Amino acid sequence: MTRTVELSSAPALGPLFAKAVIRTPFRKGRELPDLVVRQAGAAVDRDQLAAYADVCGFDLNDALPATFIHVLVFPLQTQVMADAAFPFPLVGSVHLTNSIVQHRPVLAGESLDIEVRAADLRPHFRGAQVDLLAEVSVAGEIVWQESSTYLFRGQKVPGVAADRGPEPVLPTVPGAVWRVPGDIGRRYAAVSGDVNPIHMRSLGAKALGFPTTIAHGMWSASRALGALSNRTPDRFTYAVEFKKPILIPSSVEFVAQQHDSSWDLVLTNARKGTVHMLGSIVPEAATTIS
Amino acid sequence: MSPRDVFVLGGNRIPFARSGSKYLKASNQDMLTAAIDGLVARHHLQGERLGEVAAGAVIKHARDFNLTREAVLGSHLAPTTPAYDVQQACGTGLEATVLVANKIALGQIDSAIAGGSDTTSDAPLAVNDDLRKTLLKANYAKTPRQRISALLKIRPSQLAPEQPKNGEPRTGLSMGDHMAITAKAWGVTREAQDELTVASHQHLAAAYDRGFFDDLVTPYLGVTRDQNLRPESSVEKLSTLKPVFGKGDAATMTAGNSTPLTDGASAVLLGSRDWAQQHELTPLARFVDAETAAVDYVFGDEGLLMAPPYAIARLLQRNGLTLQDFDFYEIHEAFASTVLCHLAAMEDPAFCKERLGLDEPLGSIDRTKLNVAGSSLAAGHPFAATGGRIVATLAKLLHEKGSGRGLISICAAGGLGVVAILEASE
Repeated sequence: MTRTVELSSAPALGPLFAKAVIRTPFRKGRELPDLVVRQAGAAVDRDQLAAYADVCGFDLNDALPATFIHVLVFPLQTQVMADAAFPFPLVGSVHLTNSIVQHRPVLAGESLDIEVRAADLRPHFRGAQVDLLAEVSVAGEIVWQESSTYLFRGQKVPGVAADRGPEPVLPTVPGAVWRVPGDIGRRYAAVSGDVNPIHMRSLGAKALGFPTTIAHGMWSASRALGALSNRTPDRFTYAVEFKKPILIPSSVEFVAQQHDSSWDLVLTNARKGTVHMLGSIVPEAATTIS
Repeated sequence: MSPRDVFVLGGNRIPFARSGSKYLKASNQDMLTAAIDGLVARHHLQGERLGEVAAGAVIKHARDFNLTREAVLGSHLAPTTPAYDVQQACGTGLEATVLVANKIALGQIDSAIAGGSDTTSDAPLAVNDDLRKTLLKANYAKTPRQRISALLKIRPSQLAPEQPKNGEPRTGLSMGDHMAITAKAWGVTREAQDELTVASHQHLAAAYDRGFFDDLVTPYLGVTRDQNLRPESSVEKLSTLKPVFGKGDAATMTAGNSTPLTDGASAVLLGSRDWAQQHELTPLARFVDAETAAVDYVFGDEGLLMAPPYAIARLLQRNGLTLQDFDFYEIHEAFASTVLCHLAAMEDPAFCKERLGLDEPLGSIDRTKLNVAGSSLAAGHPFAATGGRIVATLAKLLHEKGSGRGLISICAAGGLGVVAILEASE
């Protein structure tokens, strides 16, 4: 039977992270909990929206950036992964891919009903992967959906992992160069609440096995969408795949190429050419996430 | 090729907000983009390449050197739409309209957007001028020694930012102080100013109530009406306010009968008859002619905001019209006393003869035709956005009436005045 947790407001992320860490040694089992976390009537804080727009390069207006809604959904995702019945430790998980379907523009004044659950536990060649599925409705109409795939390194689940897949074909055209400042992790943490230590200070990042502080994957996804915010249609699917993390400070090169009415996006290290993120924006919510 | 007719095809603005309030986090670029995008959405111009977009801001950051082009690149217009910035103090929006209208008339372009944006909430703060010079000197130093010796000249007093000044550079007086001098010279009373102010609030409120602004204003950041609007405003309430400009018996100007600092943006769509037809757009009004004047308020004997009567006199003469040949008068209310001084001057035989060189005074106007949908005292006055607000309002008034002619008059800092004539399109 599905267990439902109803939240009256978004949970604070700091205590959730702490709880998740404490529970780490007691996690067992290899099945996802049948759990739905809900928040009804979520409202947008316009100051948070303005700060988010500033950090992620969106113009400030009344339509919510599709990636801003992820920020509203993320605490509920974290609540699912911090739940005692969730089989893997939250800290150290890696965000692999993210796919957002915007069914229509969502306005800052609308009352949002959010629902999140975990699904599709399957092997990955480096461990186990899980989809966190989110759905946002306004007065019963689904306006926005998301599937965020997380990797739990070294965890084993039955089945055969898919191959790595072919190496991406990179564009040869020059792109825009963005300077990513060393404090972008702290700045995005301030607008998103995602205070994972790997994004805050180099010490925290080193403790968790990274050479230095890394930018949030969802910051790069947001920044890329921000650069194209006036070129996207009202209904679209925005899918990204995170590759090598952006070690900050850094300069990254952003290439967006249009094919018919779709966009292919590539974010690489401006100096070395290593790929940070691949993405696409496809008009008309052709698929829904179920 | 003879000039073509130019038409106002539509207008859009965001509601104006009081400084430091609802638009505190919005930049000029955010607001101008929102105003343009609302206009684009309403007239189905997504992806369209327009002839050009001309707009500007009066209070401007150094980084906004290409403000209008950046707004276009962030809008739903085609990125191949050219753009440039215009800056003529409070005349910016109307002057931008004149510029694009002239290009359309000459056949150089077929369509354009003119507009403006201003925010005193997100105003630039400059570094102290001494500090700026020291830093520049250090920057140009050729040796580390020179650089250090330049930087050692920094003093704590230089770390305070330069305060933005609301004053005329050549007189040191604020606009309000200048206006108080002119108001006294013309004997404009406190009561007359407060009455004009109440009329502005009542007219604007009534226009909102009858849905006049439904296709001229797009809500922004949760604001749906101009925040400064006080429909319940009355002469009794206004009479309790303390004067803020002028001294002694010249102290008639209050925060009520002066425009407050305001944030906002506006945009107006113009085009040739053919372009309008091709895009299935209804011409609201024909842009007939315009004139800009300037007065010597520095050493001459004229008030800072008194250029409009000079511009009106020349514009009427060129078009063979009298001041009474209009169905609507849109006189920008920088201060209530500004409007009253203009009206008094145009009625005054001595002023019209000695200053304007006219045998007969321009005469009086039918006050029931003045600012009939409210003006800056009620709506607020985000400097560069006022021209677009007025052009769109007058064009729609003329379209509603189906005939007639309207006069726009806007005074500006530096002793400038921009005026224009619109006619209902047949």
